[in-house]
Amino acid sequence: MTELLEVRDLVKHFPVRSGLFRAADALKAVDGISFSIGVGQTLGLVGESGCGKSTTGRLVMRLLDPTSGSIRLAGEEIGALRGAALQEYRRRVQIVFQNPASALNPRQSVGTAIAAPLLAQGITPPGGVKARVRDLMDRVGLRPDHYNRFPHEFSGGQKQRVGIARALALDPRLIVCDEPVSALDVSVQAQVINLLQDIQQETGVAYLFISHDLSVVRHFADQVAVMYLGHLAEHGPTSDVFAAPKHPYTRALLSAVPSPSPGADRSGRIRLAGDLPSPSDPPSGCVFRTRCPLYAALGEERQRLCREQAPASVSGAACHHVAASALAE
Amino acid sequence: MSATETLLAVRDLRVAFPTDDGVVHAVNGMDLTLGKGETIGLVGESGSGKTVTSQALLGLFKGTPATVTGEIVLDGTDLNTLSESAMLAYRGKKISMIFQDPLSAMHPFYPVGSQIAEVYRTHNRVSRKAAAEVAVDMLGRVGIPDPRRRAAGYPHEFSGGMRQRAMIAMALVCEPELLVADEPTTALDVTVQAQILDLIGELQAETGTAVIMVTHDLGVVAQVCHRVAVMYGGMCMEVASVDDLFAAPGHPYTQGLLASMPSLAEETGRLRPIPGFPPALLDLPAGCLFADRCPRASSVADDRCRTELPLLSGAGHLSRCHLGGLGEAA
Repeated sequence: MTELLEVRDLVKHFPVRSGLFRAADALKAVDGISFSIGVGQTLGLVGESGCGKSTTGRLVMRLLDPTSGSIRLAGEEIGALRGAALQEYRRRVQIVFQNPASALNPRQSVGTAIAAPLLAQGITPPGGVKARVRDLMDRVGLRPDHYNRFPHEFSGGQKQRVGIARALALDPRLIVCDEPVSALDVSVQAQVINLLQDIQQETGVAYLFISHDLSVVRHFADQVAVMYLGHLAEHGPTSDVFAAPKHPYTRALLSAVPSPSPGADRSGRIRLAGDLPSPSDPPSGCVFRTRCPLYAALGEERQRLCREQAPASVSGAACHHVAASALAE
Repeated sequence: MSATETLLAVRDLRVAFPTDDGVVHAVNGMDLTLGKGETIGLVGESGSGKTVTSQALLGLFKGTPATVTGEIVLDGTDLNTLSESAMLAYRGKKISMIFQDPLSAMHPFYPVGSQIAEVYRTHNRVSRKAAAEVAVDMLGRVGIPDPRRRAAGYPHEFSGGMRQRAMIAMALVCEPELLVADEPTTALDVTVQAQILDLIGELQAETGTAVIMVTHDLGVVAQVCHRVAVMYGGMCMEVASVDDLFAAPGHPYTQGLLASMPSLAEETGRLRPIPGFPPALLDLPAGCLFADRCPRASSVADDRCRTELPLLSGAGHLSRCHLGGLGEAA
């Protein structure tokens, strides 16, 4: 498989203004993650609020500059891009946002919004901009007479279709989808998911699909990466991760999803105690250890390992005790 | 349902709002009964009337331009006939509510503990000090660590999950007979959602409070409810025990909802969304509100689905469909 996007040891620390408690702190939003996405593939990036998944999306878009680490698109390092080269990059990578209502300008007609990327890049497609916009609208299931309408005249699902049409305008190689269906009702969500899948089959575009909804990711993604506090807890092919999660966090996350089948056996459910630690003061060693259901059962020697050393990824799971965690099942 | 005593009976509840564009019919004939200590799920998509129904139960439209008709009988009293001031004696005491967004449901300028104590003092003649003690105790019961210290904290100092716990404490401090929970876990992460659902279940087992769980998440319903009412266009399309509903969904809308959900447990084939849009509440169609989107409407003779509103009928497992056909697969 050819890799389209390669992310290595990506780090993003946001400076926290001094003056409150301590001087110049850093909020460690993303703290050394690596993954790659193949041409025409989908990587699902999952995790709870504050785990750094949206920051990762913004780094890939180069809406933010990384603190360190590398992001390569088709072998080319994007951190060094400037001027015309950066503009060219923006043509190849697009984004679809969570809230289609705030991602569209309320005073701009839908046709103008979809044409905006073409005008910004100075591209005149054969047949003209209007014809291209009409094609795109047809592609995402909007009617031609929607061209001159404004966002408030559309439902949430239709607005998201506008957002998708706009992202497709430049024929990108990669689309970052940041919770694209989270704001939609289930019946509409299914329409948009099917649309995204059809588009991928036709155009071979790759998706970085950011979501907190594990069922949607299972349905949609080829690979899945589970984030916790700026780190990748687990990463692997979707079917493997969902069939046999290795990292204790992945297990807890999967078992917390309420299943739409009453009487489902929930005796094996793993409860995570407490709240997420602050990303400006993450735990030493393994960041998950403060809430890890495995940790308490470990011997002193092994606990020290968790406290003192950040775990490396062993067959996809960043845990010192993947073997022990498998035994605990 | 077993032979438990009926706590709440809602009959033909209708809520309409006058707007510049005309009258919006948000709830159009809701019928619902709830036994003591029972949990019923009210599920539906945006605009199905589930939140308006729950707000009407609390009498939150009294003194507004909205018109609310029908009966809301709680323990023998029709709440809909009460004046706003008479309702105050019920709200918080016999029936209370938790909201989706606890940050906007709490006062930002007062400590959390004092807001809980205020609810208690409204309904009980006790000193401030005693009420403050009750608040601390209640915060402890909802699993907030170090409750005495946290009671003096402000809502913004709490995490999302802790804030929702505090709101549950506020809602349950007078041990109401009915708790209306409007999307209590929608804004929370799944691991926190699991904690909060467990907490509601535990407190309910302790106090015997009945719960109306308003949600769009069928997973949540399956996990915590005894019965479920599926809402669409401001009325119940299907009412059944949770087991029956998931084993044999009877209404085409319920079947459509279930088919459009991806599964966590197994690989799903292509999703089958429900085509079309929900009905416009300004101008309700004459027949079944779901007819325009229903895959089976065309199989009914004489175009009955578009001319005649079906009744909610059946034994135990109720469905509002001319086809009746419970358990038939679409």
